[in-house]
Amino acid sequence: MFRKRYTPISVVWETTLNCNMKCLHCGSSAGESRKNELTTQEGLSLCEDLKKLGTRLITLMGGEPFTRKDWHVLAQHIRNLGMNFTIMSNGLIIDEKIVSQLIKLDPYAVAISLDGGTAETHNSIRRVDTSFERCICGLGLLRRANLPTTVVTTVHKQNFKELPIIRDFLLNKGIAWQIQMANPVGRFPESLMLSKKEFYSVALFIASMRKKYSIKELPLMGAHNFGYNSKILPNITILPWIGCQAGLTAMGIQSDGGVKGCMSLPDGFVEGNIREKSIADIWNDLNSFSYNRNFKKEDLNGECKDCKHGRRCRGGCLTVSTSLTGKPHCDPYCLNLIERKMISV
Amino acid sequence: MKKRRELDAKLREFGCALGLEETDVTRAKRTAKNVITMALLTVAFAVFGQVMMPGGPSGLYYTGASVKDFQILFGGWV
Repeated sequence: MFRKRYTPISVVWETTLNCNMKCLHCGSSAGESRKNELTTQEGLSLCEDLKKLGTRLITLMGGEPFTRKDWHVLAQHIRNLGMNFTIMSNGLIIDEKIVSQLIKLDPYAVAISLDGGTAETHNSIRRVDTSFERCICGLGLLRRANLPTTVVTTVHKQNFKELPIIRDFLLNKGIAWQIQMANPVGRFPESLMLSKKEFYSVALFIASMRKKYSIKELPLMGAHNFGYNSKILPNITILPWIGCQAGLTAMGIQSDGGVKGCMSLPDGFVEGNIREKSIADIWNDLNSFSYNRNFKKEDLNGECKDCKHGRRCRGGCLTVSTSLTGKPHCDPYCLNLIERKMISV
Repeated sequence: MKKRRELDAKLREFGCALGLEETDVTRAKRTAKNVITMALLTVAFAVFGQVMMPGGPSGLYYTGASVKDFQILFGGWV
């Protein structure tokens, strides 16, 4: 019988849960390392196995990936195998030595978190007094080295009003800017999540800025949880939403070898561990990632049930949906839904 | 006409939180040009992007899109 073949094109690998910050919104509750994290040798073998599965881009994240002493060994191996890598950091310990290592490794992107337009806001979210100053310094080093740099801003009630300040800082710097919404997973309390009205305001801001400035002036995009199917606004992600990609073209790997469709999903979504079963066996298992691979329109829940976009959209971000409603395929932070309910379109 | 005015008023109310002025809000709305541009981009991605952009579709959504993605899709800052 015909069986569709899936390829984990983009893999997010939490290389360590160790982190030098204790951010308010951290979805992984990072801080201490996980027990029994993958060794260097296991990490190198993992990269080889991913290459065989067809992976093209590995995102090294944490915790803070630069706290792992062998980060550059892993990155070099990825490059030697002909794959690309992106590294996501809080920017706290980026110095000239790390930048010179990055130059040699030629990353696809170096993504740095910037969560406030002022030191006060950024530092209170990141819970490190010098983090804003050091983040800005790190961004300057990356920019001077001409490395492809991205700023990721995770918005919630405490910082969304500072988006215009961050915009002014990033204008004409050639730095990509991704805005994403904080979800109530890990350490982040639901009480600080954006209201739907605030969420729509941010979407309006992104749409407006994308029209006001050229891509050269401000390469800005909303992330996977900023959508979907608006009748009023243009698309604010880079491309139209084609549904959650967890287990279809995306995979997440925890630092202890646990495998999920997406790193932001809670632990209940771990499909297996690469220490017990090969990653190819986990990925190709007929029962893995069934929430997306075996999705049917009837699986839609809540207000997504009767949506005409449901088949393609699959109810938005699986993490937002499950964390807020306890059910998959009914992400309530949907532009189309908000427009129907709050703007009566 | 009345409906459009109501919509614009509602959008201005949403935009206030982030200091968006009336022109910013009006500018934000979708136009036929947006729809056509996005359709062309989607076709371009389907033909070239899958190969040229290492992260594929999920790389654009989840992993902190690169300046290189913008350059590939928008043809060197077009």
